[in-house]
Amino acid sequence: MSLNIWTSGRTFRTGWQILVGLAATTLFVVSAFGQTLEPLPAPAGPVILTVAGSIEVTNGNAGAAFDRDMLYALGISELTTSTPWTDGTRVFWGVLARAVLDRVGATGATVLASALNDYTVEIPMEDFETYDVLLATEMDGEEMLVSDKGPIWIVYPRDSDSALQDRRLHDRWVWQLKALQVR
Amino acid sequence: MAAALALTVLFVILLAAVIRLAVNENRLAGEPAEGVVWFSSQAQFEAMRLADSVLLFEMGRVARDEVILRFDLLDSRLRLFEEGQMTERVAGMSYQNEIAGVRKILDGQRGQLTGLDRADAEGLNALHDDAHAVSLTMRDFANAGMLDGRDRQEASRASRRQILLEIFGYLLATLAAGVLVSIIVVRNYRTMAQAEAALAQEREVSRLHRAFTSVVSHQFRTPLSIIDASSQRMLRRATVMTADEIVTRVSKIRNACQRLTRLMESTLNAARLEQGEIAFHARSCNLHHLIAAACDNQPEQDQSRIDCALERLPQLVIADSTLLEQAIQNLLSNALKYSPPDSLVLVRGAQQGNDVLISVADRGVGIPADELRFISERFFRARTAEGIPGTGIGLNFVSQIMVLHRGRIDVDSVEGKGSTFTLIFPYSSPSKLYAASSEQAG
Repeated sequence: MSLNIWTSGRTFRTGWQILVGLAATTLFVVSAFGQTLEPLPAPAGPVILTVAGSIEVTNGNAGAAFDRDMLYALGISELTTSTPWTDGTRVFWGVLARAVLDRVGATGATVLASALNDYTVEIPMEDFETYDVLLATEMDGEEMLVSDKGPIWIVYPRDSDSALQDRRLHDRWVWQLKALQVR
Repeated sequence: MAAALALTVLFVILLAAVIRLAVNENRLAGEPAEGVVWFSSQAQFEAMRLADSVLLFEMGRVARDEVILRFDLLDSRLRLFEEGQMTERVAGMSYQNEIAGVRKILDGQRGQLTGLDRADAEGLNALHDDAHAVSLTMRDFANAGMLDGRDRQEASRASRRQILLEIFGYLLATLAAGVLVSIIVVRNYRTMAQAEAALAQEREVSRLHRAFTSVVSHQFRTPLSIIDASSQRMLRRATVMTADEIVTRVSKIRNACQRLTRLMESTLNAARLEQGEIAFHARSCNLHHLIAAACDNQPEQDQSRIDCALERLPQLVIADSTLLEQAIQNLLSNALKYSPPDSLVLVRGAQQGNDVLISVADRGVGIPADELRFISERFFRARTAEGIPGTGIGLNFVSQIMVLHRGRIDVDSVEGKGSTFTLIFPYSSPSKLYAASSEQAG
């Protein structure tokens, strides 16, 4: 995976991605700050996550739509933690929320996360910068189904930081996540 | 010791009570914030939406996927009661059977979902009725959860109240024990301080005793040897001794006896004063007469050396005449003793502001400047006084007498030139005393 260097919430990409990027300049979206982000291809499979709002990269009218493979292409992360809604500690796989937001050039202070049942909650952007918050798609090596918090569950590294064990943060653990609205 | 133990025990109990309070407060903290009521109402909502979607599907207004989605969402809500921290509440409310019953219904229906057909009215009705039944169960569960939560909150509140009362009690007890311990500590400390003071006093007494013994034995030896020598001489020459010689010898013996008496008196007086055996009686006295008497008490051959100038000295003052006379006598005999036999000793008296000053000045050996500050210490003798008999008690006695008169003794001395000792004490006129006593009488 590429190395992310934080500058005002944006990233420069390094290594081969920059070279490839330079070669295809005409296709690039040019941001107001002169940084370039690769265009996002259209999803090939079923869309499981849509990111909209204050973002620079889109692949459709609804914003940036991701299928499972597109998400996995951003890099898989593993996170082991217990949760108040499951037994024991579980191993979660998925993509870092930060990576998705970086990929679409999200700028804003908050993200509205909504679930398949239209449950919506406001999450501060700071959470994704401070913690390795996972958009988990697999639990204990199995894809999570809608009947059990799938396809995407926002999982915080709860066991590694006592501040995250506050009950008031539990509402941010949105399961059956379907969309992120950056504001 | 027992109090300290009690304090420790109380502190431990207090700590335990605080921990119990913290545990009590944390009992709810582990559970998901949403609680049973919220989760079951969510499940009820999803069950009703599933029932809705079945009807809509039958009417052809939604696709099968919508029904499956609603079914999955309901399923996921049910799972919240089957794992994680919520299972404890379900068990606590004895709702495991109801949850298992709902699970059985969902499992029974899931197999038919993919083959759901609009034309299969019976199957759709069954699914609709099941969803409806689930929603009713969930409503009951929500109600039970609400009541259970209320009871738990009440229990928690009552428990908290009781623990707080306990903590208050323990705090008071700890405070009381703390006060007790402090009192004991202070008392012990005071006893120790008193013991130390007593020990220090004992040491001082012992030191004084040794010093006294040494001074007295030394000072008593001279007159005793004079008496002994004269007696021996008289014994040897008893038959041939002339009357003049007898008078001289006997005079020597008597002088030595007088000296011994004086020594005895001065040391005894100082000791008595120290032990409070000599009482201080302030009364009207005539200073002029008092000083004249002190002069008369000096050896006759020395009396002509004393020059008194007392014009500026008030006649009548309130003082202890016996003690004051003793003090002046001591100063006079010191002045005569430590100055050449032909030199004058000046006695001056005056009133300065509210003080009475009586000074005795000599032109004698003087006191070295570095020793001036020790003059009122008992048994202190200046190095210039070596070879002259003395006990080092006199000035200490004078200084004590001045303390009783709320006054002090000042010394001004130049080594080899002479010394001036001044008694300074507050002037109080006898008229005031009379006025005060007559006022009291009236």
